[in-house]
Amino acid sequence: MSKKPSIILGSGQFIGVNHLSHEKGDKRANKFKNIDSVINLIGNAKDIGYEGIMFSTHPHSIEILKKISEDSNLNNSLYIYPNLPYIQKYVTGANEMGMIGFVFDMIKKGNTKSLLRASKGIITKNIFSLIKSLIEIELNSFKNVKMGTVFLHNVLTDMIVSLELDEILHLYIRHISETYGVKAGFVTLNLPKLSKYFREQNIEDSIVQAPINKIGFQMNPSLKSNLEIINNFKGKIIAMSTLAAGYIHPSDAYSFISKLNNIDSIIVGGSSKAHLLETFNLINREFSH
Amino acid sequence: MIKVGVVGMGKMGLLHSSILSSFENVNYIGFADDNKIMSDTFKKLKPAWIIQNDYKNFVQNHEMDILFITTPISTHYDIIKLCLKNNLSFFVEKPAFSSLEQANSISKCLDNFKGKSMVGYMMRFISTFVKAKELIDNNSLGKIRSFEGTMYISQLFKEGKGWRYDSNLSGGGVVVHQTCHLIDLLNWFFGHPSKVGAITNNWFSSDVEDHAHIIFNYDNNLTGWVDSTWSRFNKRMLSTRLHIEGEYGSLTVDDDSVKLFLTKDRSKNKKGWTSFSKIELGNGVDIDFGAPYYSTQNRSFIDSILDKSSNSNLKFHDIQSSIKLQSILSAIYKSSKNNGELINLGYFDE
Repeated sequence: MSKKPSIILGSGQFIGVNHLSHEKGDKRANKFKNIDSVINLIGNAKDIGYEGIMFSTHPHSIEILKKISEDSNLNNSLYIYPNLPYIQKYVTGANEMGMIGFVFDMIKKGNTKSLLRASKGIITKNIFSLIKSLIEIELNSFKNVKMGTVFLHNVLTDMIVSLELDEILHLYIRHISETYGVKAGFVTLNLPKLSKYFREQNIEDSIVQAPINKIGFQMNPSLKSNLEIINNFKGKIIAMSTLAAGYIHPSDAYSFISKLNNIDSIIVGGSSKAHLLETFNLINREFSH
Repeated sequence: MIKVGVVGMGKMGLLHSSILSSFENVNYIGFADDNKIMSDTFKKLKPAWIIQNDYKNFVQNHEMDILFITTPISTHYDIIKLCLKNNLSFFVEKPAFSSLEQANSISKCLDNFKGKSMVGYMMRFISTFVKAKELIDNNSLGKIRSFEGTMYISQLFKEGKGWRYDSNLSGGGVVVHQTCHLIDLLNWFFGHPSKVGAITNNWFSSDVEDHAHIIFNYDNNLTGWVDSTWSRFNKRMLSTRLHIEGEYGSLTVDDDSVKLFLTKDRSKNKKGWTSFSKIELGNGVDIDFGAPYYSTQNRSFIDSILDKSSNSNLKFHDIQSSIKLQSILSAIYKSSKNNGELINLGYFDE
């Protein structure tokens, strides 16, 4: 029997993420356009025993974070895990004004400190100053909540891994730890590649969020290669996409995951109190067997 | 080991560089980009890469088997000509050309070209559209009568900035940047139309269209329409949907699933409804970066260069396919200027 993992609420349902159906995602996002519905659901999650919530920097998430920060009951009880950035904002922005144009636009919207640091970075062509400024701008919305591990979005993580951007990897880990006092985490859709690269970089205590499900959905290059890595991983693994976007029955999904080693936490979705409670109880039951 | 270089280290250049760097049988040598911020940054981060500001020096002075062209559309023509001159296989992001004149000019240079080419119409590698193609090809629907296609995203709700919104540099708006993917799928599924008509609208952009409604007619009496915009509310991600009506039923395909309805047993499929989810249809890829189909697309091209895949040329969109596609794009703009008049494409076809 594996150690019982902590359970973290994902926030994809609030902004319309559904990996099985764009249409379902859009419908669910409409349901949660009312911020009171979101805060109610988060309150339910806290009461049930969820440890925290994962948030990207989607504009709707930023509104939700503001509400959480104003609610002392929620704010003191739940860890908020940033997932930086909301990548679709960068893709759409790059389409609208070019990649570098978009980065400059982001920096212009930041505070004076980040703007000064970024300007210095531009003048000296120092990419590291620019990255620190972007992190600062993205994390600004989290300054009044109880922030946990700061995750890097899978597109950026997987770019660092595949291009072997060693200095950026270490800068991110160091900067998050030194400036915000929390650990840096990574989201990946390519766990075996990440694991190999992190070993080469002597990073053994990493916190990595990756898809884990019995059908191998989003587990590249294969289910088998991922399972080998998971069972021998030195750091902490946070399981996501455990239901393969609703394709796998929850009891099958969590029964499968409970037999794996090294699962530190599980991220789940949920759109009602009953749904959150059912998932919570099911995970606890499977990990108690 | 295949040596690959990239021209243009913007969003798509980074995407392809990341995928190619992770392929075991690819040696990624570096890139050319005239943006000093990008080139100087990577010179610091990746000192072993070849990084140049001038693409001509990059191509002519360094050994490579494939060049990936991920620059703005207006620059494609000169870079493609350089590849043709050097018999260098190339991948170019879509659309390959910004005008029919460019397409026709390249067409005249292809006879002596010994390399291979691919244009980045990656939707041919999305598992649901691959399944739809299989169902059309195995004649499950019988004779195809009509289709309706839509392609929407919430992207532009104010005047855009940069080369994409300058028709002289890009060749057009939503049709050349977005709708061309769906038109490519139609060409792949049904062959080339004989006539097209289009109405376009500028809602936010002053120089390029934000919306297009296009009608397609084919010699075999097939007819259909496509509606496409980048200014649609509540479409967080690009959403593409195609509904096809045939003699023995219908098929609806989108990014997530294929739904088949048959009035009788056809091929291996039973009468009634059958659904195929992308989860059932998909497999793991070398690296999922951006989306799995980018990896599948690049793998397909690399394998074709290595001669590992016997039929990959049948599957992907090469430069010849783009020359035909450009004639359709040109006819769409011509029709739009003439209030939606149907334009005969016969004289464009080979």
